[in-house]
Amino acid sequence: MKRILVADDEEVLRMLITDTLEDEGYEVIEASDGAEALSIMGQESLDLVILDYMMPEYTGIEVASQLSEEWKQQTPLVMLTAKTQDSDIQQSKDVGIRYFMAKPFSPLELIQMVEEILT
Amino acid sequence: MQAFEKYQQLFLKNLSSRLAQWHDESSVTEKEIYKLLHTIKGTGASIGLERLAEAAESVRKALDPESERKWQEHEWAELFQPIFLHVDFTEHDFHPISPSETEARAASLPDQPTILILEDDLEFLHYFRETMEGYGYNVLMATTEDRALKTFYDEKPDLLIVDYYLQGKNGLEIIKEIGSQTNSTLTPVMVISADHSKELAMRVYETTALDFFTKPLDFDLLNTIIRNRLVHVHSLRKQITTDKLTKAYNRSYLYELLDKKKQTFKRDRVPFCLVVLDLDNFKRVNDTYGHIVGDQVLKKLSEVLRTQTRAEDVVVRYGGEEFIIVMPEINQLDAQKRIHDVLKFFKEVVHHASGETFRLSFTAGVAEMDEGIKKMEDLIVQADTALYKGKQSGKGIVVNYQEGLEMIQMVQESKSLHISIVDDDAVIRNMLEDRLSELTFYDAPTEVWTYETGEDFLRESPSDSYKHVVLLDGILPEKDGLDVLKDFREYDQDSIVMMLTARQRGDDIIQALDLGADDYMTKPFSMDELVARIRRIVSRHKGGKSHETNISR
Repeated sequence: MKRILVADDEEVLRMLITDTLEDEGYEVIEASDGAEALSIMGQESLDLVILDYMMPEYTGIEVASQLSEEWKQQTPLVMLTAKTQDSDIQQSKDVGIRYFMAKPFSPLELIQMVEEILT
Repeated sequence: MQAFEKYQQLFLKNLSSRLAQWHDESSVTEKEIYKLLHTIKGTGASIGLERLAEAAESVRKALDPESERKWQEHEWAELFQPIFLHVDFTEHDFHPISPSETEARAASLPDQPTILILEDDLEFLHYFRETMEGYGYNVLMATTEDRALKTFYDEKPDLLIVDYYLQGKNGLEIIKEIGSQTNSTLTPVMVISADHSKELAMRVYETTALDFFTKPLDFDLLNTIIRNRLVHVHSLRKQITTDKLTKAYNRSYLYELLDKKKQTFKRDRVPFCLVVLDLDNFKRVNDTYGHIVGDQVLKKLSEVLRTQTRAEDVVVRYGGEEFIIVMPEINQLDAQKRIHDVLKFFKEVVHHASGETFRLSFTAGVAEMDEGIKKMEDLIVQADTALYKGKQSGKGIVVNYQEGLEMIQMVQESKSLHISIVDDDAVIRNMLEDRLSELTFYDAPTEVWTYETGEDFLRESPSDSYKHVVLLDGILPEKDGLDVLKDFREYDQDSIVMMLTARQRGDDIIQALDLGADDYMTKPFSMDELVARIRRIVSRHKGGKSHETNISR
């Protein structure tokens, strides 16, 4: 079973993502801020990480910039951003993030993207 | 959408507890507000709360994501108005303060309150005045009683300070003389004296004076107490002129305002408009969801009217579900356009009741003040006439009053009361027709139709008359009275229906009321009682709302 980390401080959105992915048969681990996300990444083996751009403690960008290149090679990162924020996307690319999910998104869009990345 | 319900509920609950937390804190930074709006937008739209997300986005644009500026509650509450309109937080522990409460909290006093000091010790008066001006007051002075009275009436100060020891007369006598005036204007009165005796203090407090200070005065304390009194009076005045349920202004304030507007118009001829506005199908809301929901709807309407009009527009609850808006310095076309925008906004607002949601509209009439209008009531009548035209042409619109024959005819037509009598007993039919045809309601004539059977009535009765009373016999051949009522209510909820039933059939009465009858009479009844009941019900019923009662003062 593939394991996915979902890091978002917004409880409801995190819940929506978790429920959606679990329904599709993925195992999901949750983190509610950047620091918690980093500590989970250090301990667990993961197949995919979904990071919110704007989080307390460490932002999505700060989390990604603390990860080694090797780690990022092995585990794909998805950044959740606001649709209108082009600067967010550029910043994310600079720290090695290749996948983006713009809010708002539908559960179906989420599933399609995750499947695409993991196959 | 159904699938998102669980997320929506949790999200709104979290949102309301967040706002409740802000409510407890003295201020919030702009950055935090930005962040919350950002979250509402991103998450809201992902879980089916698109409207809320849009509202958040529209507000967010005005903010700087990095700013540390501190926002007071009345500021952010105002900013969040568009959001409050899309969410009913009352189910989620948080009760957002309404704009009028917001105003009250932020309410401060006039920029420079005016105080009148009556004191004949010139040296002290001079010193007193300078000190009070230093605290930001506008100070009026009087050294004699006559002068003080004249200044009081002419200048209407916010507060009066009287020295007890005056040559000629003592301060308390003046307070007694001026008492009825200070009472009606709620002007606080303070007494100062060099006499520290308990006896004097007691005599002062036996008058209408609020406070007693002894010399030497502690000006810091005096200033604080004056502010306290002024804030108190300010909020009292507000309460007196405010409708408790809707927080809009009340009728007595309207008349005060219109008197002033009339005077100003005489002088400056600057155009202004008056809008009469009536919530559509309010009776149906009350009948379907009950009066508590009805009240909530009225509150919401008032909130929309107050927040979506200009700051200088005054919103008044005129009665029931009817509001008046007085719009200064605007012509009729612009006023209509603005009210139309408010209507568009209100039509989008979602109302909640026992798990269901619904939307509503209002109909409005706009009239502009002109030189031909001698009495302000006439302006209200004009706007009301336009409103009536709007109601006739399908509701949910804003109509401008225009002079013309068509309008006049319609007003006359609207004055007549239509009564339909449905009874298979020819004797009763004729008796009712004879008696009711002679009636006048508020000087308006009555037209009476009679029908022998329910089928005749359903086929032939006018469906678009403004005031229509149906006297319906409970027991009819072929189609029973209750069945007739049921069919009638399918397409007409506005007419007043009074069931005529036999005394022993109590079940019929309950069923009739359930089916939408407004009242009933048990046979045999006296004609006088029937007439009295018709009068009463016509004057209070929405469908039978009388323009004449609305405009009379």
